Amino acid sequence: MSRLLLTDYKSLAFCIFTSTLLLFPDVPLWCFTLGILFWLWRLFCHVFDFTIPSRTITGILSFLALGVVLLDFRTLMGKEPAASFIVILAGLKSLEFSEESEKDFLVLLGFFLISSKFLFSYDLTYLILSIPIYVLLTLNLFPTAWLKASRNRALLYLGKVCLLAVPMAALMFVFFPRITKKLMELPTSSRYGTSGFSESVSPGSISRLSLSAEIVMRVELFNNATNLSSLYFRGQSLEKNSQMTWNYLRTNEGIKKSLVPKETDYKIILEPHYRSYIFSLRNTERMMTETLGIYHDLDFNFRFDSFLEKKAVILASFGEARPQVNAVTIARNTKMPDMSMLTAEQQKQIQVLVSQLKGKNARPEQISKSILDHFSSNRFAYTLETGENPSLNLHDFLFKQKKGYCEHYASAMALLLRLSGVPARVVVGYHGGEFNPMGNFWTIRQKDAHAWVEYVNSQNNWIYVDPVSVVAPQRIELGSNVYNSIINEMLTEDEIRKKISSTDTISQLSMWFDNINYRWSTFLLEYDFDRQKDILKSLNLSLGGALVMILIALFIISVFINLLQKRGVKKKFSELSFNEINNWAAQFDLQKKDNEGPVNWLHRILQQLPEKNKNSQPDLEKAFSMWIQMSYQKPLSETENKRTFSEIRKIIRRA
Amino acid sequence: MKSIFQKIVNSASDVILDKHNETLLALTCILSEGHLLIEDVPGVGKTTLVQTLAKLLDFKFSRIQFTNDLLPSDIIGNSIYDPEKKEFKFFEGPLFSHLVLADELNRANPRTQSALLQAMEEFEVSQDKQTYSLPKPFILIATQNPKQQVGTFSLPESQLDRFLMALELNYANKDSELKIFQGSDARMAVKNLTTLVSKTEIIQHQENTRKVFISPLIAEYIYELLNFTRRNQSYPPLSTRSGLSLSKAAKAYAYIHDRDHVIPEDIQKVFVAVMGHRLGLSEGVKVGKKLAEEILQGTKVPV
Repeated sequence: MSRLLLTDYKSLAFCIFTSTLLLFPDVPLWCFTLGILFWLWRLFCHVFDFTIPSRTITGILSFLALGVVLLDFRTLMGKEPAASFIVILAGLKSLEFSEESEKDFLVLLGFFLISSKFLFSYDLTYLILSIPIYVLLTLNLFPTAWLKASRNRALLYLGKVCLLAVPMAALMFVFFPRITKKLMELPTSSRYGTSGFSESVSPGSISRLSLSAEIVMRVELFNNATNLSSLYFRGQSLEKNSQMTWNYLRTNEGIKKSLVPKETDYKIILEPHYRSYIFSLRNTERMMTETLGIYHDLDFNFRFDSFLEKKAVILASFGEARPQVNAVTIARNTKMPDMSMLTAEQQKQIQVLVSQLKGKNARPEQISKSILDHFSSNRFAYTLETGENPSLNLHDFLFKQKKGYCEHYASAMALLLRLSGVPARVVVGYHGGEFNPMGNFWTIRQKDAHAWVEYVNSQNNWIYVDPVSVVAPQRIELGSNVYNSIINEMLTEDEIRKKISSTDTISQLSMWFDNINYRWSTFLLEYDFDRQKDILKSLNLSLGGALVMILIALFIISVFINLLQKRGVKKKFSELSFNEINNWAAQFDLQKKDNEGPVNWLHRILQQLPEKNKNSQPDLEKAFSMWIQMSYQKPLSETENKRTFSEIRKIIRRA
Repeated sequence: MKSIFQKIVNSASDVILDKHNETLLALTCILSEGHLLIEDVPGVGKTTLVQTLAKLLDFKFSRIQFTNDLLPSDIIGNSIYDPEKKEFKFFEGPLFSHLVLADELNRANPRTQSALLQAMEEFEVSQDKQTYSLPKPFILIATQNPKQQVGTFSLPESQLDRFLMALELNYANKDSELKIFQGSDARMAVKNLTTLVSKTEIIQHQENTRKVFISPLIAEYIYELLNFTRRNQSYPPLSTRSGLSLSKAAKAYAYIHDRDHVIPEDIQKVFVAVMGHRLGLSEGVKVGKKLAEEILQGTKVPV
């Protein structure tokens, strides 16, 4: 019994296990570990042929699991708690699996597992991964012996089911009323944010991201083609500082709801990051998305009105008018950094440097330029190798270490500007990305995370300045992707060019796939309530009308299926009975020979039946005689045949 | 098996040893109103079998020994002028019996052979523009010697097709033969047999046999069997009449086994006997039977 799942239902076990693995990033670690532990336990029982734990034990365990999930999430609604519970449940159910009748429930759990992964991600990759699992799971719904006897027929049958299901799904997609915003707001915990981006930046926090290829967003630019060096996606301006660490300072100053863009200058498909920031290009004025509200402050830092839990398509447009920076903001950003941690001598050294940089001319633009000059002329290096060191101070960076990643330079520059009396702050966001020429969009990944500086110039406007552009101009020209690959190699200019222009087949393929994936998710996401209304309008239908149409279509399809089945069954009750008997005999490796008559076959079965099954002989004989009568006697009514068939099935199941 | 037929077969096997299956098939043939061809070397009990059946079934039995100079009128009968009544009077020949044993049919010349045709097909004979009905039931059992025997005229295809079945009797097994050598005269044993069933009962059974049900699946099976020879160049194609004969024989076989419907096994049991001579043609029944076995092996039983 303990061997049933892993020997006879290998494909089912494979499905459940793989879907559990796929859910790894979405469930808490304890949940996942528990799920895997159950599988190990199962394997242990299988290998040593131990008895599997009783229903009481697994029942208690599942109640315990439910309790812990409830304690942890305080709800069962939403993706994570539900996924966690299903993972544990699937593990437990596989553990106690001991007879064929339990198979259907396990298949159902499998469908839940694999669907919860795909339906929440909108990602084509998961769809492709899911398809074989869906196929295997559905195949498992067929009787085992039947499958053993004719796998091709099962596949054919599955094909037919798909043939009916796919147009149905398309119909539902187009016409089924979109669930409104309120219903979608399921509680989700925010602890699984995928963005490495946060509201504070300290030395090392961005270089940590430089190895992550996780996609943050994809951006399609419509009006003016932009080159890499101007692609700064501003996420958050950080105004509060302590040492080299900068934090977001929450102000409610001038927060307004964003206006709807008149025309779309660019489009962002933002992956869910469970935060509220939106990354915007310079001079963005208006932004909108379907499901959430968007607000911005005086500096046009855009934010959602709640956390982003699923992919969002954001349409944005540029604007020219920028208000002057007000006095309050200036005062806030001119706040002198706290230098008390440094020794008097270190402070003095910095003072000297600041006065040197300031010179006689106190114009902010000039100061900014001299700071950049200081970086470029004093052999400051751009490197990932400094590691994470939040306690690094300004003095050490300027006079000892002299190397760092973007956050070091942005932080140091902002500090120097403030020490010189210029209002300045650090801005974090993303820079550059990878251009997909096939889809004409940019893919921005975690490793494109960047930090730069803004200061207030003499006209009282915020000005962008990126210290990295002087320390490592190639980082800005080529993007992080290429730059990180050459950062540690000494390459000549020509070699670098060659490296950029050579695109291998794999990257071509991945771009091609990414393009399809991008189109797919935009298609799914952009088909929202408004789009649906447009289509209905063009078809002259109201929402109610659409519902009625769906119902009618469902009715027609069900009638069609019914007819199809009736016709199939009419001549086949005898064949169904034959299948029952055949399936039963298949467990003893007995198959009816093609040229064998039914009676001879019965004799052969009775002869070759294992000794321990001999007691099913009378049942078998009875089933056979009923089957033979049904096949060869004067035909009875359909209902009569159906009754005989169910009788045969009962007898055979008993045997 | 229906008890009456069981009794008949048992009684027959007391007289003619080790021929259980052949007796059963002969009985099947009688119930389906078909004619029987027995092919074998002389002296294996052909005549005894036929005599036994005639005695058990209360059939009027006559035996015609065919020779190459036998004329049609010798078997049908003659019209002879009756001077008193001033008209021709028909004197019935040996054919006017219930069970006619046409011994060594293939020794007769083709003209005489074909005289049997009408009798076999229509159960009546014509003489001088007059048609005379044969008694009911009428069954012709012909024996023929294997082809290699000298002085034989092979039966034409059309004539072969009119026999429902062909049997080989073969030599009995050793035990049976030993018993035969020790035992009394078979002819005497036949005389001592008691009749088990009346003619009217046999006619009733024949009528019941016609009512046995052939399901669509069985019809399909018959078709598949015939089609096998039509698709396959190495077999002589089987005619529709042969298929009809097969279904008749299967019905009778099912009836004997007390069923009101034919099952695939019935078809399989009679197939070789029904098709042997049709497949063997001039090669003889032995060859045909081998081909028939192959066809059975190669055809799927529809379910």
